[in-house]
Amino acid sequence: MSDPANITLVTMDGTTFTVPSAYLHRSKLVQDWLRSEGDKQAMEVKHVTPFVLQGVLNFCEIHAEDTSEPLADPADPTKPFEADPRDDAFRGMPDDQLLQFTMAADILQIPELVRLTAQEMASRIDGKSPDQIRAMFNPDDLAEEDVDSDNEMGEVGEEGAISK
Amino acid sequence: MATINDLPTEILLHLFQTLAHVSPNRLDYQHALNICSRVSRRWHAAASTLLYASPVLKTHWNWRRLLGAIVWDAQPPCRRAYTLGALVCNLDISRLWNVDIMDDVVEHDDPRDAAHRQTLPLSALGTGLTAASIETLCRRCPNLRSLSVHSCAQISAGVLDAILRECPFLTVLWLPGCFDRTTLRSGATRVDHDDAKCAFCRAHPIITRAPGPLDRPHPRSPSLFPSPSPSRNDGALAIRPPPSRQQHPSFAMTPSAFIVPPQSNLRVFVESIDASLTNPYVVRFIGRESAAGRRICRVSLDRQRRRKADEYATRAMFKEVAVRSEMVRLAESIAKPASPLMLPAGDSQLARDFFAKATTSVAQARTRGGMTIRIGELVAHVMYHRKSIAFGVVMWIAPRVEFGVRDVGGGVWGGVWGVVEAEREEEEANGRREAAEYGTYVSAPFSASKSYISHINAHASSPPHFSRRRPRPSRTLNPHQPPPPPAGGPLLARPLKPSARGIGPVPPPRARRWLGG
Repeated sequence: MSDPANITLVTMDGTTFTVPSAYLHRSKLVQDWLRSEGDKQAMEVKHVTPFVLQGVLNFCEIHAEDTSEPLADPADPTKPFEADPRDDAFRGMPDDQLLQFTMAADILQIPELVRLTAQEMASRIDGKSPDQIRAMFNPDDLAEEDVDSDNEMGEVGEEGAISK
Repeated sequence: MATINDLPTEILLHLFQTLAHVSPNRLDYQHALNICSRVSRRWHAAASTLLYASPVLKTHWNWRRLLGAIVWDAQPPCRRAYTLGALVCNLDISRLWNVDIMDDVVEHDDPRDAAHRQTLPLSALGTGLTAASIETLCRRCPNLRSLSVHSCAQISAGVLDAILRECPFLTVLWLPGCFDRTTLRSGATRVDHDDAKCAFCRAHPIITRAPGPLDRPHPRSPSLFPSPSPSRNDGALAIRPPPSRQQHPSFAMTPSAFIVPPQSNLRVFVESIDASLTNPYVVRFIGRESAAGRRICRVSLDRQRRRKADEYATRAMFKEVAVRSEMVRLAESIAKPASPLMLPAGDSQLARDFFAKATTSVAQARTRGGMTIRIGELVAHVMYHRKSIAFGVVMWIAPRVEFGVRDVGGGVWGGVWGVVEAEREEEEANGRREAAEYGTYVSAPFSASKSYISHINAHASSPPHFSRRRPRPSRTLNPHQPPPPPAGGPLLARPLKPSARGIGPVPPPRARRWLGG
């Protein structure tokens, strides 16, 4: 039986993080796990690297004492928000790390972090061309057919077919 | 290592919706979405749902690009399981009515567009739209929920038929200014408008019975849309030939025999008051629909009509008009030439005088350009005596706007439209004097008018107070508490700047962006 005041998270390579449960009260995944399988020793967080999980836990620790209402999951993207100055670490983050944080936030179901990373990604994407966007986020790992499909999709938007 | 294609679709949608906050306007947002749709296949699938859901169409170039993308996408081979047209839910092509097509073509001197110019129908000049293009678009967009077309003379009964037939999920249909452009100018017949209204009633599935023939030729115009080559589309774009009069069910009914079940939820924003309520067919139709307890058609007059001020020699300042069932019934009785004025007991003398003037000064109105009635005062009385609905509508008007009564083909109940008073100096003096005399003026938005109606129904014995509209008033109207007297000068309608097209507001600078590209 694990300590209810703390929770142990295990990353994809076996690294463990033991943090107070109160830090993760905004994580829907953790809350569901505590309700259903809280008697287990540790919670496995697959597909999340230790570095990213450490960053996520830092975010949760910073916002642990926030009194604002937790956002619905998924967060409503139609409502603009102002980034907290305490989250400036995400602004200088490299693009690929920001992508991993976005995915980790989605895995852990933390809508506040999803909103923050999506906002940062949107600000970086805005004004870029498709090639630049691909270059930002691990272009070497893109499948070939994805790159091939780009031209086709581009033609759909560019080709004026009224006269054909 | 994660890639952009590893992001789940929900996060992609969240990301693309967040782009709206980063982009300064909707057109830039659309542009950003288009770029995102070209990043990868997964991004395309996610971004297209947002890109095509409510496309922004500000220029005719946008319109042609959207139409081209949707039509081209429907041609085989199509690798996707969906078509782009199916993603379109809300379409607002109202801004295209004032687009000068030739300027647009010159601005975008793209060699690929040469064929567009060659096939550009002349009828599209001044409207930016063609009937065939609208038909084609509706055919390609079966999931369309909202369609807004403004002042498009190409909206004939056939086009309306096609819209309602091809878009079964349509809930909002905006057609202001589409039918009366020529009728009011000529002052003659309203055949086009009647046809269009009847086509709506015929084509919509809420019609259950339609006895009697309609002696009109088929309004469908020949296709102006260039038919693509057979090798590309296998004839998929060909406009279907019009059915014969014997086969087409829409010709087997008269407009006075509309039987509409009450489950309809289609709201039709059809026409300005001077064109729709003057039509006895329309009045009967609206009356029956409202009597059935259904949500009534809302007749809308928007500020765009001011742009046609040079045509009408008026400046309509209507914003929104709601038709109520009892008003329509009264209007229907008034529209009959032989029927007496059906004013219930207890009406004020002013309302009686108004009707008397309206009935006797039609000829005078023809020559003088309209008999002006102080609508604020009139509406105050009409709403107080709620059964004596002189105009049959509850209307929001800008202050200092008067209304004229003209015979525009519909009898006494005929045209009512806004006329900005010419003598503004006199108006200022009158306004101050009237404000001091009456202390009341009805110039509230429709939402406030509704609350006022409910107040009238609840307190029919005592006339409430009105608040005079300020230049930038609040949207609330408290009938129980009289507002403070207007401060700072007369409440004139906002002066319109001269433009190259004549009297009217200066049009906004045309956007140079293509549709998302």
